[in-house]
Amino acid sequence: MADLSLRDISKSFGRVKAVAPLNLEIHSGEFFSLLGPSGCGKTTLLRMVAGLEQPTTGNFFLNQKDITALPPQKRNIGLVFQNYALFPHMTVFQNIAYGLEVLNCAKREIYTKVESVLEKVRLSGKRDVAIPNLSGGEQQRVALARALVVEPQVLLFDEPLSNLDHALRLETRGVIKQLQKETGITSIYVTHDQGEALALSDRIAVMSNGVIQQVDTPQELYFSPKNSFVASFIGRANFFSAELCSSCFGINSIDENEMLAVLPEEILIGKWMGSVSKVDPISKLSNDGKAKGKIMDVQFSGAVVEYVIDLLQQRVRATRSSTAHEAALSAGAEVMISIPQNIHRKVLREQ
Amino acid sequence: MNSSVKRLTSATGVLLFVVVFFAAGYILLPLLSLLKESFQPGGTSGLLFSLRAYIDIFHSTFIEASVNSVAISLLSVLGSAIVGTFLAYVFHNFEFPLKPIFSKLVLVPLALPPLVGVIAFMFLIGESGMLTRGIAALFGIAPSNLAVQGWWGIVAVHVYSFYVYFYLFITSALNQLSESHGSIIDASLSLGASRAVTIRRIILPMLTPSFVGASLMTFMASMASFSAPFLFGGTTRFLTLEIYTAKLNGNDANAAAFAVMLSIVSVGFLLLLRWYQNRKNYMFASKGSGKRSTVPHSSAVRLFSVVVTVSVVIFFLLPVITIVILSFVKEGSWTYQIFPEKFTVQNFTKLFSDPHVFEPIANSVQMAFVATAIVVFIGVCASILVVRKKFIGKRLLELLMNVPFGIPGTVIAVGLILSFNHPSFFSARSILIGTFWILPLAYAVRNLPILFRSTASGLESADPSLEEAAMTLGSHGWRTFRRITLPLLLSSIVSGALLVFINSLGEFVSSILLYSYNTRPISIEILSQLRLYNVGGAAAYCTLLMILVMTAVGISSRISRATLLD
Amino acid sequence: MKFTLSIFLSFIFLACNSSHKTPLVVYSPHGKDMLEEFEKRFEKVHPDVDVQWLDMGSQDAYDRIRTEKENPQADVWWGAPSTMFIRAEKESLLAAYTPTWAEHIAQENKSAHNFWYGTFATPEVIAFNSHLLTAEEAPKDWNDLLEPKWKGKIILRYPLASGTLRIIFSSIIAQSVKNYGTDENGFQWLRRLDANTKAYTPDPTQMYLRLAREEAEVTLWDMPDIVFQSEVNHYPFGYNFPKSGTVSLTDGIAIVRGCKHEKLAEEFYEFVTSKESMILQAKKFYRIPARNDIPRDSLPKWITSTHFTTMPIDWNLISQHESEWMEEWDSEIKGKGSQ
Repeated sequence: MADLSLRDISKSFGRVKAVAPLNLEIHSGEFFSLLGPSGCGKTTLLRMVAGLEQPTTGNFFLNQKDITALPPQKRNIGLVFQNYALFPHMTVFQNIAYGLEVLNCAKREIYTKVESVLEKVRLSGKRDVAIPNLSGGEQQRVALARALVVEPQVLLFDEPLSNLDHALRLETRGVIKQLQKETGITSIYVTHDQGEALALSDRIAVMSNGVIQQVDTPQELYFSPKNSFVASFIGRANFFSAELCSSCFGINSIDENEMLAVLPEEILIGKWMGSVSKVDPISKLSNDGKAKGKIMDVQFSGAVVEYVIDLLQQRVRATRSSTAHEAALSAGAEVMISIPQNIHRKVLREQ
Repeated sequence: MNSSVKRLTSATGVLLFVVVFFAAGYILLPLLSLLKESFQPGGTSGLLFSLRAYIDIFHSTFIEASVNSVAISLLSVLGSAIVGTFLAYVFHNFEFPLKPIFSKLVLVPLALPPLVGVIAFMFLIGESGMLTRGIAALFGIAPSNLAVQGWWGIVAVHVYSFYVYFYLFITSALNQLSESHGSIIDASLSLGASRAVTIRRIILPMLTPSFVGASLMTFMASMASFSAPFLFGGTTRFLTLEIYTAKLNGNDANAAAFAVMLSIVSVGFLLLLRWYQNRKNYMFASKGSGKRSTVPHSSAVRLFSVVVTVSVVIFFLLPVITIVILSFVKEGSWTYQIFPEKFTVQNFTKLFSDPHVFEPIANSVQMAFVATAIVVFIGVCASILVVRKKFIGKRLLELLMNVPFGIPGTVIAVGLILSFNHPSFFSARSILIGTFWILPLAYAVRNLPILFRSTASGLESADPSLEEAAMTLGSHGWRTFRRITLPLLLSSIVSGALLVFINSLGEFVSSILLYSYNTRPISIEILSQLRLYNVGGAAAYCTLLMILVMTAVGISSRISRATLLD
Repeated sequence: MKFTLSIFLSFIFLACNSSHKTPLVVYSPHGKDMLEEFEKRFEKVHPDVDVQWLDMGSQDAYDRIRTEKENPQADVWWGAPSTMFIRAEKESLLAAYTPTWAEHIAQENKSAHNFWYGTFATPEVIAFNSHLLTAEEAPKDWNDLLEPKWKGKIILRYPLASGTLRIIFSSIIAQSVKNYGTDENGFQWLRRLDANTKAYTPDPTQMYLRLAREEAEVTLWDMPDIVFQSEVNHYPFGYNFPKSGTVSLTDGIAIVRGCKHEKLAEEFYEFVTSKESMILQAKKFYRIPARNDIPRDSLPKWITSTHFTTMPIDWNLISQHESEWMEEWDSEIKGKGSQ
């Protein structure tokens, strides 16, 4: 059980600023994610926590103790690598036992601990298998077991699922979440996949260009983004200017320098029935605040359907949960768009 | 990466000290003493420093000799590249009967030390060689028209001895290519590119780093080669021969000046290739799919390639067979005949009747062993420093680690004598000349670049996150190195160490200047036999040497296999 | 790993292991067989001495002694042409020693200041392949070698690296200086010889082999070696002494200046140049003694039956100019004779 605080941490490579000075408090037992697009500095930040990089400025405190000067070996912080970094010349058992050997554990103890962690990651039968003979998902779980078995104070994950296929990703995600809950290890998870971050995390820090944009719970981030980057990266929100809000939707509460961020699933759409609007039975569109758009593209992905709609030259994304008869709306169809009046998610207009 | 490097740990400090100590004491210092020698004024001018030797050689034969040396080296690189790449490609792409055996036999030229190779070539393709006479008799031509000599003779010997660098480098690159980036070949073919276009536009450019590495080794080895130009060169001038001639005439300053210029040409080529390689860097971030992919060929091409390969391999075996035959031929009986007629085991019985017969063998094994140990230690440390760390003077260190391969053995030996025939800081204030240590040291200095190159390239392709993973598991420097880095590098180290061991076993040019009675190596014993014109005895000793080399090859392949499965 | 390490350590131990005997280091080109013989004989008389001979060409021996000047490793230098000893004497590489038999040798076969003494006489001959030529057909004098019929049939040891060939070439130029007052005629002669020469071999073995294997028919070499090859190894070699007179090269012995065991070196010097040793060397190893007090009847027939005329030679002139003549030959004549 440990809490970790980052104070004024920054990192520059030569003239390039990879991480701007930032402060973070990660609480004991928390599952914390660093979320952002490639190159936003999240992996660099993670490597600094592990001790594999030295920060240009700032300090790390683990349980109030300054660990900035400690080498990675002395930090007791585990790391699960994106490419697994399993030792190819060792078996599953040898890989997992490695960290325990370093701690000079007794043979018997090593054996018991490895067996129990193998069970946890559901790899009991694979103890003596050579690494190249494992599947990607199995390799990932070995990497997880190897990091877990030494009972680190903090466990770091560097995009651990990005090399797995979709089904395996969901499965391994479950294993990670469950293990973290069971062990209660403070965890920092780096990913560019917002779905993964939302599903796993207690709190998420969204990063862009080396700067933390917002730190919050998944719900807060999703429904109350602080800026347009967070809104678009997390919820893939549509942005409407004050002018468009008032002319199309009859919303007048938006300032000139603000935008209204509307999530795709909040957009209401209905069939355009000539000059007189006829309300689609499944969308509860009110009469005021409605605009005419044209469907450019329909993407059916099982549970949801996504419509890309052209509204006065602006692309609007709208999603609906799929039902059989929705397929009636197809590309080229003219639709009526509206947004519920109770949405007040305003973000600053980008300069 | 940047800053994990900035923190120079004490372990790194020790590493750096050891490597810099070696490079400064045993590579730089001998080179400097050579440089100093070349500025000796000579005569009675009373000057301490003079460019006389350089002016002298520039006015006489330097230009001619260096043009020839560079030309012959480039031809050797070209020839070795064609043979080595072709063989590597065929063995990688085609299946044919007895392939495992042939793929071992293709390394046979390694077993033939230059000293022995020269005799073998004479009895094989010289004017009175078996092959020359046989073909001449068959077609009724004068043997003198068939003899391989002059430039072609030198290139033939060089290709025979040096193609192995291309073969080994290209083979490992092809394996890496098809295992981790096989889809690239498939992609090219699926885009409609022909096989020829795929080879030329995709495969060859991706092999560039290996080509550059092998070209460098071959070029330097050819520049420093002495026996082949000496045997086949006739009256053509080459730099190594000019060094020798100047020395024979007692003109040490000129000999040193030639040697310095030879080193400069070699280093120049090294820098040129380095610059070229940096311009074209093909690095891959993608992770391997594990699928092996090769270019498909028509059965005609396949058959032709396999036939050529098998003939080449058989041809490679001929010199070895020649030596073995010679060791069984009655002394003085094989003169005008195409093939020998009188056989005997006398050469061997005479050899073994000498109670000291095993001393030189034991000496050579022992010294080659020590040399290999030194080279492995220094080479691995240096490659870790150069590949994984950052420090001032890194480029210079890397250069020093490469240079000795381009310097003739004699020159290194003379440099070592001049540096260590008096107490020196680098020898713990003792005199190394006349001791056991000087020979392994000379072998080590000369062969260090082989291991350095193979280990450094192995380290470059090893994933640094493995070491980081060990660090985050609490593993400290030495344990990480022993348990993670070393096993990963093992195959590069073993293959490099094997070459070093073999080269040291048969080394002769620097041995002749450095050996003492208690440390006389096999090569000196062979030379002794030759000096008594006892060709059969020399061949018998050579046969023992080749058996020794084969044993080393066998053991090393077992080591690398056994440890990987450990 | 432990196994490898223990092998390694035992190797190191072996390397450091040394005997309690006093080592006496001899650099010599005389060959393994002869050196082993005299090692055994000397150690029988001096059981506390370990004779350590290093068998190498005389040029290699000279190179080593010169580079080891600051810290000499050798005690005795047994065997090199006198011209090389003259050079070594000038470079202060040798220690003076007067052997007990000093007066039994011709003046030109020893150093004026006792730095070296001659041991063997090696007259140079025109050697030929006796399977292809009879003595009558083979060249019988120096000038015969220039005849067009020998074009492409002469093979020579690369002269710069060979004491024997250096002395032959230098003598020819010295003759020219003596007879015509210029070296021009001598160089002209060498130019014509080069035109007839098929190849220069890097070492004597190659020369023998190529002559025996009929790549060439004629060479220039020293008589004892040719006799040895034909009698011991049964190679088809014969020889003619040049009618107008030949050069005879003196092979010598010297003590290395600053050596570690000077007294012992002197004893070895005396031992291998004693009458008995000289006779043994003549009988078993085909060496012609340079000492003139060896009884004729104790020498083998091939020596006593040998009669040849000696070319009068100015040795000082040769030792003065040898290097520069050979350099001139190397840069101006080698390979260019037929142009």
